[in-house]
This record gives sequence, structure tokens and C-alpha cells, in this order.
Amino acid sequence: MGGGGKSGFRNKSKVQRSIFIAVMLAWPLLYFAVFGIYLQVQTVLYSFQRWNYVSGTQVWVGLDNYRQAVKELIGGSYWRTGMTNALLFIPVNYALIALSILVAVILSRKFPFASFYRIVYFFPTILSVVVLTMVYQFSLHPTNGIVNGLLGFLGLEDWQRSWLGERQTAFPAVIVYCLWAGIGFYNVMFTGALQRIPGEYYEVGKLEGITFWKELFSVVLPTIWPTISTFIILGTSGAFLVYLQPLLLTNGGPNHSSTTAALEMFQAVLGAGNYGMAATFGILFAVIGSLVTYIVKRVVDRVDTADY
Amino acid sequence: MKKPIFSLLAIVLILGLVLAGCGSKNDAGAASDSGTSSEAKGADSGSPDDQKQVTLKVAFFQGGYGDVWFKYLKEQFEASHKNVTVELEGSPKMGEIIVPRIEGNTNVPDVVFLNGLDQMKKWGPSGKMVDITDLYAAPMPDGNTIQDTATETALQSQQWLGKRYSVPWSQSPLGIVYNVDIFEKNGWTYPTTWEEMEKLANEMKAKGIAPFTYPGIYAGYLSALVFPAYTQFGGDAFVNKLTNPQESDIPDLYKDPAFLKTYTQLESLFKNGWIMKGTQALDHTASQMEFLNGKAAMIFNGAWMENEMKDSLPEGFRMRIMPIPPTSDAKVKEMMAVADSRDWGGIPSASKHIDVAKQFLLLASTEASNRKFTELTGAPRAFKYSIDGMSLSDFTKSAIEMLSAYKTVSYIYEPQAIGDGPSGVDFYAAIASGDMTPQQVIDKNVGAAPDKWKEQQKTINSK
Repeated sequence: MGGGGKSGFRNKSKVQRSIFIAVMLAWPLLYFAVFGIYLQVQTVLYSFQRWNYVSGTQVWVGLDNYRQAVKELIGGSYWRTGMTNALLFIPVNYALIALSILVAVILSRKFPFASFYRIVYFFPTILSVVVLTMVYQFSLHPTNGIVNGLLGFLGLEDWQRSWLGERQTAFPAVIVYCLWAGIGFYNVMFTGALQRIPGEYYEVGKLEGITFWKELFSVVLPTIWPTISTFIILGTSGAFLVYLQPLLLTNGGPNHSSTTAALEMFQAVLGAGNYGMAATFGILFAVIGSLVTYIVKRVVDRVDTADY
Repeated sequence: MKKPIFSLLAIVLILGLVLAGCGSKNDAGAASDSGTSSEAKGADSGSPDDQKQVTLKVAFFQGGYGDVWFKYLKEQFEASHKNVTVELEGSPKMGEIIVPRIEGNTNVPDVVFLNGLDQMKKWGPSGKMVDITDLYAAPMPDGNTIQDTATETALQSQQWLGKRYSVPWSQSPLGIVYNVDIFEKNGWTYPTTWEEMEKLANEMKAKGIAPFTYPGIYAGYLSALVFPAYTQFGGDAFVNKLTNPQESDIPDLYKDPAFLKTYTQLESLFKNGWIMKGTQALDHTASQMEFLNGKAAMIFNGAWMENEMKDSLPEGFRMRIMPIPPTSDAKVKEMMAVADSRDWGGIPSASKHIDVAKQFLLLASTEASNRKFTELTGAPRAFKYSIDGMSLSDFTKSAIEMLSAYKTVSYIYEPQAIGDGPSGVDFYAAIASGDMTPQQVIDKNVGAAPDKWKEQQKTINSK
């Protein structure tokens, strides 16, 4: 009897607890359902549709969009340039990570003005990307830019060029911008990871008399590997999302040579209102991106992590 | 045993929340419907002293014309409609940020002014914009009608499938803007034939002055040359075929010599080194700045340029805008300029104050508003109106003269048309960068036209 009453009471409090949990979970679930699932489903549906502007409706066109998309990717259209450039951003992001680690390691040494330099490196991160691109554009300006000015001052007039306006230099200039503007953020992340390495590790190393490089590869990198691997995966999948930098710097030009997959999608939707093709390419690039990211993750997971 | 119950509970709760959300949305929808209908009644019964306070949200593309004209309209409208407060929202990115708002029915303004007709053509038939065909015959506050006062180009452009969803905004000519001081100092006059232009450009180059520049990263500005050239080389018959093609015209239409001549003319600017060095890296502001600094004698640009650059205009800087001179082998040997009426104002169907919004569009189209627009922005509106007694800059006068004294072109494509570049090649950029020759562009277009036509037919005929 008593036991039954007790369990009834316990049941009641459990029900209350469950209600509480359900209510707490409802909002994030709802949010996920709308912005996670619904929008994805919508994109998949759009990729099988086209806009009929005579009737003002979306019409089903079967695999037409995919057929055209594959044709354009193989036939060498702007979409292919966009995809190639997006893939090129993967090694760029790795180079960015490597550079940031190097800078973070150097700045973690106690030398005069180390924290000042850390702030200098972080500075671009707190400025708006629009301001940064303007500064960068000004410095590469074909007639008044500081880069061409310096080259002229050094007597290297032959090297002066319209950096963002020539096929050979426009995309590399966008890449250099991404390295310059991105290093600060990664630097902060790696500095944080470096500070968590126990001091004894270094002391042991010192007693053994190891060099800077030996310390970097045997002590530092294995200990911060979890952070590095996370950013490698993020950098891989993020390569397919790059669009703002080329949009602001070159508008993808000249002749779409510095465009990216995401920028072409952006322009398909906002320039031409072509939701169908943009969704189709979105799905295709998502598939390609997931594949690449999956392979990279498999490789990254094979590397042993030092436990501490 | 217990777990299923809890998950059931969770589902019920989530559903409850979702349904609650839907319910409140429906309520809001109903409220807005009744609001609209009561207002409609108010307008029908002609009782302007409707005491209900109304906030009219006007969203507009804040580009070269700035926001001054909208501030003027707000003042005027609020003065004549005491119960209305006009809320302005201008943005240079309005064309982008308004898309999800209108298509997703969230935070929809009562009036939109945008550039680019594509959105009107998309939103009109799908019911996102109010059909305002009748408004063209409605009397404006000054007694005129839009039907009688809008320009021919505007009346042609601002319609889609026999209906009107928009009123015209500006009619800005695109042409060649030249630096009057450079011309006068060297004893040059603006040429009347393209051969003279070529001679002049070579003279300029010899003197170390770059003949032309344009906003290089937005290659579309080159239509200032390309569109007049189509008509000059091809004549009206060619343009009619291009904008209203029949199946039998495909793909031969794209072999028309007008294309090759036009693209060759475009290519010559780059091949001959007449375009200022570095132009292709510059956006509109940067290239216009170079022009204002006298680095180039001419720039392909529009009548909005002076207003767009008014903060950087050097003291006493003099410029004029002129049409494109014809070549000696042109079919139509006339100087021509592009004069599109591609920007527009309309009313989203989700507006709760459609009748007030209609009043706003009418007020915006009166002769007084047109004159004010020109006075404030230096650009012409797509209406016939007098500019007598207005103090206008020489540049504005040249723009208005260009509209009235020269032939203007504007291409309005019928639904079945597949444009001037069916292959999807961005030919301005391809030719400007030297990546493709004119013949390569044409071969691509001729090759792609039949498929594009089939695809277009399929799309417009599918349900």
C-alpha cells in the first residue's frame, strides 16, 4: 500500500520532470525543424523545379536542372571555375592553419612586445569584412595603390599591375586577402590551445636539449592536434561557403575567373532569380563537399592524438 | 513502458506549440484582411478624413538617386494625408534584402521602389504584387493620369503579360560621359560618327590621355555601347526578331551580322588600348573617381553619375553625357543612347494599406514630383514633363537633351525570347578580358540557341 503510494508520488514527479524536459526541448526542436529540416527539404524540392514566369508558379521539371548542371560542370562554364576555385580554397585553408600555428607558437614565446603583436594579428578579425576589403582594394588600386607605389619606388615598374583586374593575379589576390584577414582568428584559437599545454612538457624537452623544430613537432603539434583537426575539417567544409571575399573584391571577375561555387549560387539567386539552378548546384556542391570532408576526416582521424 | 508515454507527451507539446503558432498567425492574417477591407471601403466611400492612424512603410533601393526624393514624397504625402505616417527604409542592397521578405511574407513593406524589372515580372503573376492596371487611368492629385504622362518606353517596360504591377520610376539614359575641360583644352569636340571617335581616341592615346574607362568589375555598364550598336547595325527588324522571336528564327537570328559588328566594335576598345589601364579592377565608385580626377577623358555611364559622385565632385568640374555615334556601315546612321525604364514602384499584396499605397504611387507620379526628382537627383523620370524654370546642372541638361533630341533604345523581351546571349556566356566580361573573340561568342550562342529555345518553351508551357 505504502509502497504503491510512494511510487505514485514518484511517478507524478517524474511526469513533471518529463513535461519540463519536453517543454525545454520543444523550442530548439521546432527551430531545428524549421531552419534545419524544412529549408533543406525546400532546397531539394527547388532543385527539381523551375520558375514559369508566364503562370507565376514553380513547375516540376524532373531531372532537367541536374542534367543542365552536369552539362555545365563538364562543359566548362562559370560553375566549373567556381567549383575549382572552391576546391582550391581547401589547401588555402590548410596553409592558413599552418601559418596561424607558426605565428601562435612564435608569439607564445616571451619576447618584447609579444602581446602587442598578438593584438596586431587579431585586429583584422574585429573589423568588418567590408572595411577590410576596402582597405585591401585601396592598397592594390592600379594607379593610387600602395603596392604599385612601392614597386615603382623600388624601380620594379614591370611588376606593377592591376592586381584585382587581371586574370593571372585576381584570384591569387583574393587568396592572399583570405590569408591576411583570416590569420587573426585562427591565431587566437591556437594561442588558447597552446596555453593549455602543461609547462612540464616544455621543461622535459629543455632538459633533453631539443631544438625549436623538434619541440614543435614532438611536443606542441601532438598536444594541440584536437584543435588542429577540428579546424582542418571546418576549413575543408568551409571552402564551399566562401563568397563574400570575391564578391567584394572582384565581383568574381575578370570574366568569372575569381568566382567561387557559393558566389555563383549567390548571383544565380539574387542576380537572375534562378532558384532552381541555384538549388541544384547547392545540392551537387553539398554532395561533393561532404565527400571531400568525409575523406579528410578519415585521414585526420588516423593521426594519433597525445593524451594529457 | 514509460518512455513511449514521455515521447508521446513531448510530441503533443511540440505539436501544441506549432499549432499555437499557426493559430496566432491565422488570427493576424484575419485581422489584416479585415483591415484592408475596411480601408478599401473607406477609400471607396471617399472619406479621406478616416481618423485611423496608418503607418505606410516605403522601402526603396537607395542607389545613385539617394533618399532625398523619398524624403520629399514623405513630407508631401503626410501633409495631404494627416492620418498617415510614412516610414522610409532605403538601402543600396534593397534589391537583395527585399527578396526573402516579399517571397516569405515577412516584414513586407506597403510600397517598394526597386531597380530591375525581373522581380516585378516574377512577383506580379505569382500574386505577390498588386495588379495596378487600373491605377494608370486614375486621376493623380494634379488631374493627369499615368497613362497619359508616362514615356513610351516606360509604358512598354512597365507591363507584363498584359497587366501592370508597377509604376515607372526613372528613365536614366546610359551613354558616354565626357570631361568637357579635357575636350576644350585640346580643341576636341564630341564626335558624330564612330570613325571620328576612333580618330579622337587615337589622338588622346598619343597625348597620354586614356580615352575611356568604365566600372570594370560590373561589365554590364558596357551595354551603354552594346545596346545602341545592336540597333545601329541591325535596324529595327533585327531588334524585333531579337525581342519577339519565332521558332523559325532560331538559331539564325544569332548569326545576324549585327552581333559580330557590335562585338567587334566592343573588342576594339580593348584591343586598341583605349580603355584606361587597370579599369577592370575598379568598381563603379573607383572608376568614376578616376574619371573625375581626369585620368580618362570619357566613361561609359549613366545620368545618375553626377548625383552618385556629388560628394567627390571637384570644384568646377564640367561633364556632359552623349549618345553613341554610328559607324559608317551602320544600318541606322543615328546617334543613339540606352534609355531604359527598368526601375519601378509597386505594392506588395501583403500590404495592409493597399489603397493608401496607391495614393502614394499616384502622388509620386505627378508633374510636381517629377520636377522635384530631377531637381534633387539630376536625373530624368520616365514621364513627359516640363523642366522650364528649373536650375539644373549642365550635366543634367545634357542627359535630358539626350533623351529628347536623340533616338533611344530599350529592349523589352517577350516571354518566349531567349535574350542576346542564349549560351549564358557573360560576353561583356569574356570580350573585355580577351578570353573570347567575338566570333567565339557568336558560335557559342548559335550552338546553344536551339536547346535554350526548347528549354524555354518547355518552361513557359509547363503547368
